Amino acid sequence: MPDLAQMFRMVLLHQGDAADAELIHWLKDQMDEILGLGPWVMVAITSAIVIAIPVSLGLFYFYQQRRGGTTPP
Amino acid sequence: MNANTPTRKPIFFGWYVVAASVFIGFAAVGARNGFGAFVNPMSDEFGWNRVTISTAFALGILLNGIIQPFMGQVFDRTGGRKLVLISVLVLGLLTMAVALTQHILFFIFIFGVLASLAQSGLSLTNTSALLSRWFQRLRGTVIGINSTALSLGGLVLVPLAVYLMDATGSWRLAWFGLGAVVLLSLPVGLMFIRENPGQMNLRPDGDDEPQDQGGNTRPARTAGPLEATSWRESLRSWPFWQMSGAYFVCGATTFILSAHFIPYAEDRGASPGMAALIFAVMNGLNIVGATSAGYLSDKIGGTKNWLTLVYVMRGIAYLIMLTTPLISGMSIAGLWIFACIAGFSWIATLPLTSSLTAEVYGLRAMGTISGITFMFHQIGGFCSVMLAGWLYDVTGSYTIPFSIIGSLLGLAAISAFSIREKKYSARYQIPSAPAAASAGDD
Repeated sequence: MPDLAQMFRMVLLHQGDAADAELIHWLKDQMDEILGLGPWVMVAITSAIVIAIPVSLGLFYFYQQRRGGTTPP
Repeated sequence: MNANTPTRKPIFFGWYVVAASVFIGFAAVGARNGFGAFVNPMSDEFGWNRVTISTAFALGILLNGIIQPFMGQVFDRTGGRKLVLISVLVLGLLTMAVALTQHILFFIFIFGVLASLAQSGLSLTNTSALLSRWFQRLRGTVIGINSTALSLGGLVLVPLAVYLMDATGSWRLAWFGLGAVVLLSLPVGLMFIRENPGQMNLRPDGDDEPQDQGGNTRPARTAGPLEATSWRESLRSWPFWQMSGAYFVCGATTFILSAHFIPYAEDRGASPGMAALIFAVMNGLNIVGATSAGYLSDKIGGTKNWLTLVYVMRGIAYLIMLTTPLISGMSIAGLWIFACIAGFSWIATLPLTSSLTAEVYGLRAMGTISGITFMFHQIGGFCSVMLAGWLYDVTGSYTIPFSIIGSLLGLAAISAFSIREKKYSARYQIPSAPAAASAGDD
């Protein structure tokens, strides 16, 4: 019977990039150095990108629908 | 508009389904991969060590692989829409609930178990099966586009989580924010996720009703000889095992590098930052590789040939990685060449394998069949990481484990190439008799 904790550690290694706190913080430091923006500004920019995707998709759909461009759901 | 103006062809609703699916995948993957950002602050607050907190993540990955065939079956039986919407709602609420963590067991149960189960409902195998109903001619292309959610989610949402924590000083608010992003995809799903084009009186790819020369309706395609009504039927045929075998190698050759590439690169003289950058470039090329592989297989045909090419490319990349240290001054350059070639092949197997599964076995049991194939992928990854870790301890080098795992790519290429696509794929079947076609049913 393999050691369960060892097994979990091995599984974790599969996703090392996602779970690697050091790598994520290293990437953040690089972004800070390149962009030089404060955390709230970065939150605002990324949030705006995230919200813009569904909003623009919905608006585009309704715009097309008004022009008779697609079948309504 | 006068009578002579040609009517503009409406945008096919399937493209909205693709966009919704990508956004849902983006939110789900991002909320999951943001985990790394929370390791230090949560460990600091509760005094957990890295292994303790990482157990939740590792447990989730294991559950995700094991549960996939069952979620695929739920997907096939319910049609998909309900599963996707419920999974989005549950995943969003659970991600928010992680903000309430006071004890490790709560965290493991909510994030490691329940959220992983919810995420299985939103897996790429399920959404690929959904998109396969909406597209036939462009199937590989849209599954490729859908696969980019894997990279995009991490690219945008992990920095969001990091900066949210930095700005508010609270990891709890950051989990809440990630949950909110997942819930943001719920209205998108409600609006645009539809099970098949037939529900909206449309046909796959937005095509018009095909007619023969006499004006009679004829089927766009004939089912292949292995079209399955149950996943069990696929187990009795060669293509299933050929694809699963190749997918096993795909999992083995990608996971081993996810785990060991950065330490391996450091062993070869790259700085940690350089090693991370090479790995990041390789991951970034995923997007190009996945979309172009799907597109080319749709446009030119011969999906199995493209799949073979992807495995051959990855094999060449492995060969370059392992042989360049023998050439003076080529150690780091070899890593860059490897990253550029391998990056294209990284997730390109997904759209090709999924579209081939749909073409050979049809759509009725595709969720389950893809789920089982995906399980082979995960098992391959698990075995390779274990083997590499063990061989590294024994030999003190990654050369032998990488050589063994890399050489399997030759077998994967042979396995993919030996699939008798022209015999089994619906794409190559000739419609025989006029009959009413049923939209959305391959």
